[in-house]
Amino acid sequence: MLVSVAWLKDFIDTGLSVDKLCHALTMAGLEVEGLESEKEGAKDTVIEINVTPNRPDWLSVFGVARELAAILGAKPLTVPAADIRESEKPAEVLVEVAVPDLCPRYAARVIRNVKVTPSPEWLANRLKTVGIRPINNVVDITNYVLMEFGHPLHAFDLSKISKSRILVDLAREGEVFTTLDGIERSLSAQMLTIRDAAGPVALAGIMGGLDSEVTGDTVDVFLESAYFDPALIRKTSKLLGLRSESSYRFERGTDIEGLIQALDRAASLIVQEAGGEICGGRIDVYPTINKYTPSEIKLTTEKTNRILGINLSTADIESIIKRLNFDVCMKGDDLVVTPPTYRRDVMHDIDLIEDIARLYGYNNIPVKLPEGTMPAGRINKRRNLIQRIKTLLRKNGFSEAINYSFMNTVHLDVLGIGESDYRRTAVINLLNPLRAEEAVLRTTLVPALLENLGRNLNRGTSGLKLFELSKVFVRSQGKQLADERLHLAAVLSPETAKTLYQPQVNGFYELKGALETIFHDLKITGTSFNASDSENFLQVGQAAEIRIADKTIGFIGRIIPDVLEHFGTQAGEAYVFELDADGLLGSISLEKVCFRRLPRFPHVDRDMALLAPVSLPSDKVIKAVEEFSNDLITHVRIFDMYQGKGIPEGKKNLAYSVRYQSAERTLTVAEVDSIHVSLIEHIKKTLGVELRE
Amino acid sequence: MKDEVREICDRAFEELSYLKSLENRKDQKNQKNLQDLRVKYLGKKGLLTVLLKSLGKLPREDRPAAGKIINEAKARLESAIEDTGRSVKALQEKRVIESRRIDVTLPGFFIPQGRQHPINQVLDEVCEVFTSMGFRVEEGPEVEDNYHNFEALNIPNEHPARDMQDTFYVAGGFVLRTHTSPVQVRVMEREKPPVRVVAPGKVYRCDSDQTHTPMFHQVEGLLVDRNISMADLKGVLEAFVHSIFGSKTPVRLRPSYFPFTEPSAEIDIGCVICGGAGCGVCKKTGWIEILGAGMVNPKVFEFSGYDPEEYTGFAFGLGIERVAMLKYGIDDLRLFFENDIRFLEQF
Ligand SMILES: [Zn+2]
Repeated sequence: MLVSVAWLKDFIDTGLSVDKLCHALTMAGLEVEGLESEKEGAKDTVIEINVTPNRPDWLSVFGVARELAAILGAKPLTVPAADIRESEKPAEVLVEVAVPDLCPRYAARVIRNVKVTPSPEWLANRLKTVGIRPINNVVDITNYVLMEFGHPLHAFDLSKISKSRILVDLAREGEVFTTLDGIERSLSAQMLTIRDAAGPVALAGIMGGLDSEVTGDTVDVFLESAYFDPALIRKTSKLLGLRSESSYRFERGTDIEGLIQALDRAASLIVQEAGGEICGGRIDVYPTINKYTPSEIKLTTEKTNRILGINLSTADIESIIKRLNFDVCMKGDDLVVTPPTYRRDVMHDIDLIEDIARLYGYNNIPVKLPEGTMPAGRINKRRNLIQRIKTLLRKNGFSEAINYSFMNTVHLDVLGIGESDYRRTAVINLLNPLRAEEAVLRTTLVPALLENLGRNLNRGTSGLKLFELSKVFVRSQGKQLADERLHLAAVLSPETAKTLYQPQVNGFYELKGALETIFHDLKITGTSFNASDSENFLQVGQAAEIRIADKTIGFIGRIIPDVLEHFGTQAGEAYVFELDADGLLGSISLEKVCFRRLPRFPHVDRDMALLAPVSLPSDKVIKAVEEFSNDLITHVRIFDMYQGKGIPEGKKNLAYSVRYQSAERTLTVAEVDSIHVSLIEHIKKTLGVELRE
Repeated sequence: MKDEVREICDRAFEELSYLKSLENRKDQKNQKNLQDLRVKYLGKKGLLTVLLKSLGKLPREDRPAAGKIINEAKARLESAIEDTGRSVKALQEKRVIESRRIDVTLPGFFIPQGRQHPINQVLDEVCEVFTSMGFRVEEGPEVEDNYHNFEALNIPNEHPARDMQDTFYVAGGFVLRTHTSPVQVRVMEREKPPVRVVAPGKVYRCDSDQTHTPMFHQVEGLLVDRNISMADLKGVLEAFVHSIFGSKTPVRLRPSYFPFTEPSAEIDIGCVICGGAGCGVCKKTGWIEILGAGMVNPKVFEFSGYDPEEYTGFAFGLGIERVAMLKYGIDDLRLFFENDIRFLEQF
């Protein structure tokens, strides 16, 4: 909200420089967000105050002045004057409120024979300094009083009010009404209107109608000052997408008891500036049942001090509270406080305690550290494991990416994710997305990483390793709408620049190696990679399912060039994996570590070179060795894979090293040889491979 | 006789010194040449050996003296050859070592390490400060229900406070959480005081411009116990600010409003860019807003079944992007989510 310092001076002379004034306001909760000093012509400073939604009573110059008087203490506050001289003529307007729960109070005055002209300079200037465009003297005065008191008013051209009858009632469903801004609006039955005998003349508390506005031709003015239900105003304003200075204040809550003051102030200003006479008898529809009486609040000195960590006396508290115009009396040891009617936000003792803290000064509260019981510091193990996985990936050269949780469904098409794939069917839509590209929550981390890859490669990076560990969102049937699963994904584009030592490793194995580091470090056993062509965006023959104990937790493979091209890169080679990190975390068996005695007897290594069909996965041999299940075989590993010259067409050479060891004795050569020979026989028989001599 | 010995010796030493002079050039042959030299003079048929054998031809009385001369000459030559052999060998070894000299200035071999995203670096650092003060890290759902995101935090429907947060809505009354505060509620539903938790995570607001991204990160904290006061709030949050921004950073609290805390406060720190003199970042005020905080509103306790007369507590929340921007001097929020490796590698 914009506040003119000169205007403020009408009500309080703070004696403070603008800087000091701003500081005092900010430190009391009226945060000064900006300053416009010495606007051209006007010798004035306009300050911009961020008024929090709980304090509608600050939404006016007078409101700010009133708060300043409380903050500074002992500075006199001038109240805006109203000089009402009623004529003999009665108002002759019939006001009826059909919905007193939505319009608890409706007051008005009739001013006849006014001369509508442009506003005098002082008035126009004041409005301009706070960003309001002057229109004519009558309208400008309603705006002036709005800015001054914070209570919205509306002036109608009485001659346009059919049959001089005002009815406050809900709109008729589908009714069409043109507001002051010239926009034709279709109303619904949840909206409150001010109506005459013919139909709506204003959207209550939001905006007047085009047909009944005060113009140069207006002679008689019907001036409204009412109180409308804040929630209703807010709802209507949202439904219509229409906000005004008026609705902004009504939805936060105005002072139902102060609206007469605003009405009279405006009426007297209108007479002062536009002439005319105020008709006898103020209209004021305010049923007793709607009468607002602030409730008494009990406050103890003990609680105040306990919550604020200070040590005020009851007298201190009383004096602070009185500065804010609260009524205070004592009942036993307790203070009984009644807030003024403009402080509807004060309902409980905690609200008073906040006000006491504000005026006492937050910065006067001492600083200490909490005593008391420290809850048993449970370590978040899951988080620690996640950190460990991230560290391992970084050690393998992968940098961490963070992408938005949104997804472009077009990318699902690009990736060839099928119609019945859960990543498409269980997607969660945003009802109010910012952009069509961000309309759903992501079910896979791959598209975002491919976008990152494309962008980086286009900017001249050669070789990229990125990972992301983030949630994906899958619609669930449970209590929560979304099954939020933690996923881990990484992309790798091999380094193309020449480097000094770089060993040439196929990108697939480099990416797979990063995963295996995690499996190894976290002692995740039973993992396997099974050739699979189920992901359409992965190159046939260069992709696999990642499994733990026969449960598929993800995929890994080379991205097909068409997909890469879609993401804006011609780099023919890139690899990706994505897996269910929750599944991964669930398979960690770090706690099951059991010490094994170190071997006391030497081991014997025996190699075997096999001539196998090209299609035979190398881990079949490892599995066959395991199946052979000889207790003396402690380990088997592949150390060579060769295909080409010297090897028959359709075959490859696979070389393994098998380790034999006994915990009880030194093995003899003959013994090892004999087991090795039968092992080879077993492998030859089960896999149809030949031994390569 | 004497002359003959001397003559042979002179010749031998001459040849030896010639070989020595060659040793820098023909290293392989040199050992063989030395061997040849030894055979020529000291071998079974070597000149000095032959001479020694011919002593018999001399008169008996002359033999010992002549023998002595020859033996001395033999010994001298022998040791000279040996010396030369040794030095030739040493030289050869030296030459081999020289040839194997490496360039120690070539870079070492390593896999270039990846970097942690700056947001997560700051997030971890923030969590660490609080865990060191006894807080436990808790997480919660990002697709949150209306109750936990708003109602239980004293933000009713149709309340102007809802305007403080532009919300993304999804079906079934769910929203993308607008803050990590619902985690507080979930913890209080589950546990009895004392409670000390921090909740880091992603939050969402339906807003995107220079200074807003639709997704960002927050850390929310909650401490509930008996006799917790605003002085404790100040103590904990000052300690936090000092460990993140340095122990000399000025801190101030000013009143603010959040529906779920009362009294509520904004915590400002002295501008880290201009040191309080006033600049664009701090809008010339010398202060930067860094944390929102306050004493837990009794209504929030009531929603969670805590007795507000028995327990008090404070809650706070801070935006991680903002802290990261201030800490590293980053001036464009969007850089965080572009994942440009040239950006990520700087942290
Ligand atoms: Zn600054």
